[in-house]
Amino acid sequence: MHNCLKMDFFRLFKMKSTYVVFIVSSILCGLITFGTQKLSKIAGGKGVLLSYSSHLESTIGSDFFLMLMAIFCVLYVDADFKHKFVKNIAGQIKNRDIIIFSKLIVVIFYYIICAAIVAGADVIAYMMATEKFLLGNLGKTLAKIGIVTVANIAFLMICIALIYIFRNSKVSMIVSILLTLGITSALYMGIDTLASYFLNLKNFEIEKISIMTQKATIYSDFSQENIIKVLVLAFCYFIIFTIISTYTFRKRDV
Amino acid sequence: MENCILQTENLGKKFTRNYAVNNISINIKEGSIYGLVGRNGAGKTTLMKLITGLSTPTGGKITIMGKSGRAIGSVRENIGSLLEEPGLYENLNAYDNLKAKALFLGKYNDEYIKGILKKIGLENAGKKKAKKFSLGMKQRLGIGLALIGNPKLLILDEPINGLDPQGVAEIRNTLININKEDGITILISSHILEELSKIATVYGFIEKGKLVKELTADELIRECREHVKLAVDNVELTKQILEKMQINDYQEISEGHMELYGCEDKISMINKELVMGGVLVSEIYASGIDLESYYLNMIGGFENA
Repeated sequence: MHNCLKMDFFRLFKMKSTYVVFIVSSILCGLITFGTQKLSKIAGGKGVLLSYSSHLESTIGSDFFLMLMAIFCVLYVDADFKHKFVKNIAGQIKNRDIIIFSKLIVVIFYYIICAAIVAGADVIAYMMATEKFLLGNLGKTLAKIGIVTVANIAFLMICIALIYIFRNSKVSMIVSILLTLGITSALYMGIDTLASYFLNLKNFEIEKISIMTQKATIYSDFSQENIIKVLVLAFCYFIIFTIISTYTFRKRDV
Repeated sequence: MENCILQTENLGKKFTRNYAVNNISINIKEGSIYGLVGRNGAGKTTLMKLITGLSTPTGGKITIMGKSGRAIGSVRENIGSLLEEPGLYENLNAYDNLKAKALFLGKYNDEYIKGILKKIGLENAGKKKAKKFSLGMKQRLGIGLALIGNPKLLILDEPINGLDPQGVAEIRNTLININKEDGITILISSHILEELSKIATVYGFIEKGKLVKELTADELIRECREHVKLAVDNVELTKQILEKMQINDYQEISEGHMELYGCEDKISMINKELVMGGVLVSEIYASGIDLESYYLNMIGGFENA
């Protein structure tokens, strides 16, 4: 595992997309913060200002940020299949699961670094948009971001599973992006209808167990019950898609 | 089997309906270069994938360095492979590609990577990215990746496919050096027997997933080289006459049928001496076959069987 991580981190810092996504996410998130802050000033006048914390939680919790992370995740993890480098290593390891776990750790590391950079970019954007720096309730914001990060990591595990299932960078990329954009609502409605028709589940709504939907509820309902619900859901997704990834990679020919 | 680095017993891989590999049993001795010959789709790559663990067999047994079953995992590190096309990170240079694999196997140090680059003739590739490499350079880098970790067995799937004559010669020399200097056993496949004939010490011919024939380089040369075919009524008397003529390189193929080597220019003389010696000669003619024809005849024979 240690050696696999060394290889993956080496590759992380050698990849162009590592830096491209850093730059794009910090610039775009900074621009959104800057624009929103300017608008809030115009709309609210001098007395009402959005705090830096509220900007930060909406940036890190945004679908846009997650989409950038999903794009990076697919580019990074899929590179082994795209360039067929996996054939050089998969045969020389006792347990192929290590390759997946190593990639997951690198993706989590990247997510955290990118979130920190975006937080820094937000500070700059905020200060450029307004003269007064209003921090807000940073402790609560960080707690919310922590819960959202857990949910986002579960989502990235879904993206990793898609890569191992499809083994096609274009398909994995498109599906991952669609999932982050919520364009799957139509699909969800279809699933609900099918569940109602075939399984007689009258009140079934798959959105209730969608990690994307439930993650968003954290901002409106930060109760202990909702936090536990989101964490349990994220944990379940994480476990299920880890099992799917490892099983697929172990059983299918490379 | 003694000195066998790799053995397969009735190895099989069945896809939905067809067998890509069907009951293949091979033994590869340590230090040898085993040439696996077969046309495209014959099952060479699948067999190699089974051996390298990239594919799971549906039947049979593989023993590598005396280990089989789950225990095989402990020796997998000793197998380097280049299957189909080289798996390279195209945006990295040769050094960084090798470094990535070396880090994975815990073997990285600067001198080691430079040594591998020298061995494969890419020491001057510099910072040029792999995507800008020629096909020959990519193949050599692929072999370099397979060499990381000092494997005892190297599995190469058509490494000279699509290369120009100079590229073929470079790869051939690299492989011969690896085999001779480092004692690495090589399993190499090709659909062109002629290409393998310059390096392989043993040949396995594969067709429709089955091993059709296995023979040593000496046996192949013997089967292909120019010779005199002879059909006589008395083999023992023929042998006596041939030895008097100082023709000692011959082989009795079947009852009354012989092959004589290195005397194709003496057919008339042999015929005369045998007849005068009281041997009834019903057939005598010069024969020989090039490697390509030999291979095609054999595959044709298999198809008609």
